[in-house]
Amino acid sequence: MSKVKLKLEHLTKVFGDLIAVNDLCVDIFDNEFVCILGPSGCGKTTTLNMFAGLERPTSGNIILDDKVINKLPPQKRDIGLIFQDYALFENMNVYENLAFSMRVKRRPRREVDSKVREVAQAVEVSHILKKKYGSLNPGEMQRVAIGRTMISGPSVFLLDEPLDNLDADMRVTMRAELKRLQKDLGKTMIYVTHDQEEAMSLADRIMVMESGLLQQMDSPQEIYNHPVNKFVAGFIGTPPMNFITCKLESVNGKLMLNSLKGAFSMDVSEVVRRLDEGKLQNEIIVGIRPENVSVNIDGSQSEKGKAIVLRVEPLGPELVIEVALEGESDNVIRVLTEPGRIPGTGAEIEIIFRQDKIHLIDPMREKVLI
Amino acid sequence: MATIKLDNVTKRFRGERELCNIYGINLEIRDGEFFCLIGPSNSGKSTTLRAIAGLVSLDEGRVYIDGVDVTDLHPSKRHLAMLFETLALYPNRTGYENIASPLRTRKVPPEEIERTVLEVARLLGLEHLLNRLPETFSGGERQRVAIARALVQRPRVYLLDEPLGALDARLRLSMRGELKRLQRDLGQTMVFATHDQEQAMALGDRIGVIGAGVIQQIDAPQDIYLKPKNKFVAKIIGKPQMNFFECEITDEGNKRLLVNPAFRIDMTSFKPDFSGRAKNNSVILGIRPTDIDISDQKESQDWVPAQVHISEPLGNKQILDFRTGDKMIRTVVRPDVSYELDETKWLNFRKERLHLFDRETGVSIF
Repeated sequence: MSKVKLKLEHLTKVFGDLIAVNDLCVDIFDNEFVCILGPSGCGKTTTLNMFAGLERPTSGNIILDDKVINKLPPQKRDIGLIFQDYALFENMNVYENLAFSMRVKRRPRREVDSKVREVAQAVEVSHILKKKYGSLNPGEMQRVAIGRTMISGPSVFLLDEPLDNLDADMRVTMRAELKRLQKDLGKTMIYVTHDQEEAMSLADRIMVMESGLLQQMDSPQEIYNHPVNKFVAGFIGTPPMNFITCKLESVNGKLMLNSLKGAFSMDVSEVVRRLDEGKLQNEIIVGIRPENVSVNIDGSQSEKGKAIVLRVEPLGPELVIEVALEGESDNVIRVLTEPGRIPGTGAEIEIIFRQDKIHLIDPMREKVLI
Repeated sequence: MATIKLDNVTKRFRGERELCNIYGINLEIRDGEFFCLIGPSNSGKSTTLRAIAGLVSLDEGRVYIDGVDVTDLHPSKRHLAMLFETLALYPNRTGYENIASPLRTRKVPPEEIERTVLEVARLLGLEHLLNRLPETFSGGERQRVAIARALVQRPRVYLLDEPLGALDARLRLSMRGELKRLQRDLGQTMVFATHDQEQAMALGDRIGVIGAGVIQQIDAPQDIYLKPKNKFVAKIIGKPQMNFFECEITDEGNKRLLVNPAFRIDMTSFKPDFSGRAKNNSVILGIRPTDIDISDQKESQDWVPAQVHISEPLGNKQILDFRTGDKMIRTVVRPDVSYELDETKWLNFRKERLHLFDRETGVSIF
């Protein structure tokens, strides 16, 4: 196990009567890539600003390499912040941009030169040192921005939605490059984003936040497969998870899950056996991801699981089918499948949930039970 | 109910140019169709919509609505409603007054205004917004009020210019569902311009791809995805983007090969015969990330060696980038495979899913 690089102990930030960050307790390890993910107003940027020293915590501690740094000014922290727009000089060449902060500090010329060349090599910009920053492509700009921050030698990098203003294709390429660069540099990176796909693709671990509270911190695949609550389950993954309110009923010794008007029904005796009986309530929310619903487009064999096709979205390698349970038009379910035969709007099909992939969610506390 | 036809429409902007020129646009949009116009920014989408609406004067060509030439008809006489990305609601008017505003301009009797506004508000579930000011609306609510304002005009055609552009990802997803259902219920013709290929694929009955002011291809979404007519279309449709490699078509003995510094692919038994269709036999091979197989060993001469560069999990799938020489190959695979960085693997481009484009013109050669 890697050593703890950055430790948050009951970190809290209050603005007036708003608790922006609420009792955050987290360990971030050396060389780890952590994404802080959440919708706007969840507290992710406030958390980042406290790491950087731009905000003072109301209570709790930020501990970097075993030292409390709450009161240290930004420039004395071993932390480098990379802004959304990078804030580099368009008219200077790459070399001058990298050298800028050391020149301001009046470091000897030879020291500046050797440091710039060392960093340029690490971020793979040695071949473009003489190019003007403004003439670079987005991938090169990203590497220069990281290089500029590396010059001052921080051991932790903070990035605030740096890919936000790029177009979709460039984002996919840039995030792959950034992830690989982080692995090569072996530096701790903390990356703030509201984009779940970006967080999934980049992070070793994701910190999901909402209303100032840490909801879950785990690897992307773990969060995807085992979300702890309804918020995380609904926020991670696209198309989003389906939620259907059902009743749990005992019929002939079997435990059946029935949608409220009975259009959908499944035997969950096996699934529920894993659960502590005391946790079960009459009403329960079923969560199932679109790729775990299969369809029989020739219609329903049984009485249950009949659904009407509302809309079909052929997305190339995938097909999204939106259906409503028969007689329950407010129970809309998205299905993600392969593009084979495409059912027409209004067609009657059968939907089947993969038993081993369903989640059961307590409707009161919104905790995922399974 | 309306059909739209653009016959050889050209618009060149002179002097201060705010929009992209369009050249020789031919387009027939069917009655009740959801037609998506997709192109990168500054490709002529907005100009085309404005040509239909009558907001720009044409240099050449004619515009027909329901078979009637409307080229010289004033925009207000065309009975179209246009919705822009920036949803300009009146900030100091209530939801009700915002929706009613086009009817007031037209001096519709007050009882009729009230009836229409309430009916449309009910249809879109906006009753709770009627007495509130726009500053209290969420992004999705603003969107719906703007749509309601277009609906009350009972236009023959809706023209929408990136109407979902300003919304966040989740909201965009649900709004596009609502929009498609609404269009289906109304049965009215909609023309929807976007730069987002997923929106175009999800919404369009047919898609028109536009680039550099010229229509590149018009087809159903799945047909465009499977059979792009040129490299431009292949590149803009599908995410992650198709991989492209410069290759030469070479005949060796009785074998026909596709040759690139990183690989040689045997195409001898490939149908149709494509030899001689590309200038100098120079082509660009295109293969989608989802059409590549990965193996631990070289299963045939065609398999390409490549090093694992980085993996990006996405939940129900993962993007796996490989390096071969100085080229990257992007693949999309199951979420549960896991490889070491820099490990060497073998890749197979599924031949039935290959695309070949003439290197000079970019046009597909089969």
